[in-house]
Amino acid sequence: MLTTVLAPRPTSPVRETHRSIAGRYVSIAVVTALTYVAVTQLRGDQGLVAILIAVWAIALTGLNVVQGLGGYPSLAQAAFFGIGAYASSILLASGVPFWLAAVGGVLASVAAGTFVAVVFSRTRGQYFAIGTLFFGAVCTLVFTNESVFTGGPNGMPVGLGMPIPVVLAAIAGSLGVGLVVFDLIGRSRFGRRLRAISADEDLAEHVGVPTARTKAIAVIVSATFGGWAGVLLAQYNGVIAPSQFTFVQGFLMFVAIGIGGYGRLFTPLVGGIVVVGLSQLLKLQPGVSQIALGLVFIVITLLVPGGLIGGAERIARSLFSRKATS
Amino acid sequence: MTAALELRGLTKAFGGVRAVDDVSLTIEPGHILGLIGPNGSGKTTLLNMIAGTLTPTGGTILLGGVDVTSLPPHVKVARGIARTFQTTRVMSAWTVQESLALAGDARAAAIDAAEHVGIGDLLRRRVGSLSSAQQRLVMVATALASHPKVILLDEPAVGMDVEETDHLHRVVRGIRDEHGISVIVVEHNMRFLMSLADSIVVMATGRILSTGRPDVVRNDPAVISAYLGG
Amino acid sequence: MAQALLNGVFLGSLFTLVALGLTLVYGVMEIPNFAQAGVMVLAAYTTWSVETAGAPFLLAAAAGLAVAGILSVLTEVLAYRWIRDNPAAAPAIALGLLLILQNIALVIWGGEGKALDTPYDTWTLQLGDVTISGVKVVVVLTAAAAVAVLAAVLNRTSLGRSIRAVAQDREAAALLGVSVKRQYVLSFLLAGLLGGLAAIVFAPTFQISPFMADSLLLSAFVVVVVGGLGSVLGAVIGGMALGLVESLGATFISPAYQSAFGFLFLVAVLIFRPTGIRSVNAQRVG
Repeated sequence: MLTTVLAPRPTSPVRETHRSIAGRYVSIAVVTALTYVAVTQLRGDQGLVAILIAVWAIALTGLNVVQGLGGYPSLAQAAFFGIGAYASSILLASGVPFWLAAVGGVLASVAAGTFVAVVFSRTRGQYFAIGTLFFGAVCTLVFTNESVFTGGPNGMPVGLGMPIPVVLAAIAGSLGVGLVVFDLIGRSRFGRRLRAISADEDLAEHVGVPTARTKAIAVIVSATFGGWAGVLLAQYNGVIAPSQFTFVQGFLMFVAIGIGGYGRLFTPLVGGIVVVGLSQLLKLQPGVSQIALGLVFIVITLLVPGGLIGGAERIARSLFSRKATS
Repeated sequence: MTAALELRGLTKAFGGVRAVDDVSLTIEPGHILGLIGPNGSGKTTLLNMIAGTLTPTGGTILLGGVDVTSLPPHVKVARGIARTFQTTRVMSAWTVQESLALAGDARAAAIDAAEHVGIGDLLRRRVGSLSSAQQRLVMVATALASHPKVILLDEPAVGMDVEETDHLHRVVRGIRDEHGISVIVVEHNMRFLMSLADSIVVMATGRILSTGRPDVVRNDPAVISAYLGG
Repeated sequence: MAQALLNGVFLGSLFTLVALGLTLVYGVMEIPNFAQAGVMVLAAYTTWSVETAGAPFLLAAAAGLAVAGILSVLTEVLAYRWIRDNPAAAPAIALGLLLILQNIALVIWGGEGKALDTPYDTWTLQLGDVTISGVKVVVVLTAAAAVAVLAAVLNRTSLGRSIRAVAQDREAAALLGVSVKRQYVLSFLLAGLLGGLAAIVFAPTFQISPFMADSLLLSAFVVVVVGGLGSVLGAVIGGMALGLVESLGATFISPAYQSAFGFLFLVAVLIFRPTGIRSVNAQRVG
C-alpha cells in the first residue's frame, strides 16, 4: 500500500516551473533597473515622489510578509519605518560612523519588532490590528515629545552618511534584494506556514504549525525591512519629522498592501504607486485631494477586493482566452 | 510495554458543568478504540482535551509515558497526537499535496500518507474541488502525514456511503497494521465502528459507563438504557 | 489625587460613550469602524454651525445628532454593506471614509479650532482643592444615561434581541426571520447617535477640529478590545479602567504621554487575557 515516489515535487503552495521562477527573477531585475533610472533621472516633484515610492516599497515588502502572506493586518509598519530613521539619525548625530549608525537603526527597529511580536503574537486578527495601531500612535508620541533626541514636532536634520548617488543606488538595490528575499520566503516552509495561518489559523495549529512563533518571526522580519527603509529615507531626505511616521501613515501602508493584493510579489510597488503617488501628485485644494484619495481607496476596494494585481491578471486571462488555472 | 496513551482522572468543567468527569483510560500501541455515547456525553470534549484544543481542568494525559497534558495543539502534533474534525475543515484553496506538505516535514511522508489513504491520484487537485468523502479522507491523510503515534478521528464516516465507509474501514485498519499507530474513533455509525474497533468505551454524562470488546459492550444493559433513556 | 480620579471618571465616561458605538458595530459586523471619528467630527461642526447661526444649544445638538445618525447609516449603505462577506477589506474602506469625512470638515470649516458654547460652560464647583466643571459632569451623566438606555434596549426590546441574535450568528438569525440588513442599518444608526453624542459633549472640553476625535477613537478601540467585542458591560468596565489609568498616568508621570498609558494598559491586559475581559465571541473555532 505504500509506494515511494521517484520524481521530485515542489513543496510550496505556488506551483512552480523553473521557467516561471527564472521569469520572476528577470522581472525583479528589470524593476530594480527601472527604479534606479527613475530615482536618478527624474527631477523635481516627480523625482521626489519616485524616491518616496521606492523607499515605501522596501518597507511594504516587509509588511507583505506579515500581512500579505500571513493575513495579519499590521498597522505598525510606519512606526518601524520611523524608528529606523530616527535611531540611525540620532546615532549619526552623536558621531557614530555611518555604517554602524545604519545597523543601529535596523537593530532598534528589530528590537521594537520583537516587543510587538512578543506582546501581540498570541492575539487574533482585529485585536492585532488595534494593538499595532496603538503601538504606532505611541511611537509618534515619543518622536514628538522626546525633543532632546528627536528634535520634537518639527523634526531633526540628518547628517550625510553617504553621498546622494550612493543612497539612490542603495535604494534601488535594496528594493531588488528585498523582492528576492520576499520571493524566497514565499516559497519556504515559513512562507507556507504563514499562508496556512492566513487561510485557517486554528486548523493550521492543529496540523502542527507553531502559529504564535511563526507570526512573531513575521513581525520581526517586517520590522527589519521597515527599519532599513527608514534609514534610507532619512539619508536621502536630510530631515525627518514625526508627521512622516504617524499612525495615518501606518494605515496608508496597510491599505497599500490591500490595494496591490495580499502576498503578491510586486504588491509593494503597485500599492506604493497608488497610495504614495496619488497622495503626492493630486495637487488639488488642500483637503479635496484627501477626499479624492479616500474615494479611490473605497472604489478600488469595492471593485477589486483581491487587489489590483489579481484583478489585472484576471482581465489579461480573459482577454487572451487562456484556460484558467484551477 | 508502555501504553501509547494514558488518561488519568481527566476532567473538564465549564462553570458548574462537568463535561468530562474523572475519565481514566489506557490505550496500547496499535489499538483501535471506539468511543461512543449519546449526545452530550463528553466524547468530543475528551477528544478536544487530548488534542490540545481545550485545556483540562484536572487530570493528566500521558503519551508514551510522557506528560503532555496542557501542551498547545501544535506541540501535541509534534509529539505525536494528530486529529481530524467532526465538520470538514480543510484548506479549500490549496491542493491536496500542499495541504499534506504542511503536516509532514518530508515530501515523501506527505505522498505516502496520501497513497495510504487512497487519494494518491488526487494530489494535484484543489481540495475544494473534491467530494465530501474525499475531503474527509484528506483530513485523515493530513493527520497521518505528521507521523503520529495516536490519531483521533472525530466522526470520520459522516456523510459517507457504504462503499466509502468500507474504504475508510480498510484505511483505518491499515493505519494500525502497517504503522502500529493507535486510533481513537468517535462515531455514531455503529455498524462501521463495531467491526472496526478492538475495544469500545461508552461515555455518558461525562463519565465512562462501560468498556470492553464490541460484542460485550453492545449487549450491556446499562449501555442500552443510556442510549434509550437519553 | 482626587482631581486625577475625577478626571479619570470623566475620561472613562467619554471612552465608554465612544466605545459603546464602536462595540455595537464591531460585535455585529466585525468591522473596526475607524470612520466613526469622521462622523463625530461632522456632528460637532454641525452643532457649532447651527448654534452660531443663532439657534439654541439643544436644537443645535439635535441637528448634530441627526447628522451623525444619517452619516453613519450612509457609511453602511454606501460602503460597508458591500464588503459584508469580506471583513478583511473593512479597514481600507474605513480609512477611505475617514479621509473623506475629515476632509469634508476641513474644506467646509477650515483647519482652525472652533469653540463650542454650551449653556453649562461656566458652571463650576469648587470642593477644597478639587474643581468640578459643568462640562465634564455633563459627559459623565450622558455616558451613564447612554449605558442605561442601551442596556435596556438590548436586553428588553425585540429590536435589541434581534441585534444580539445577528451578532451571535448571522445565518441562524436570518433563518429565524430577522432582517439582517435592517439590523445592520439600525446598529449603525445607534452607533452614529452614540458617537455624535460623544462628540457634542466632548467638544466643549477642548475644541472642534477635523482631527479632534483621532486619539479619542484610538483609546475607545482599546476599550473595545479590553472589554470584549460586543459587550456593553465590557465597554463600561474597560472604559472606566482605561480612563483612570490614563488620568493617573498623565497626572503623576507625564501628561504628554497620556495615551501611552492606555497602550501599556492594553499590553498588560492582552498578556494576561488575550481575548479581553469579557468576550461575546470567545472561542473562534470552527
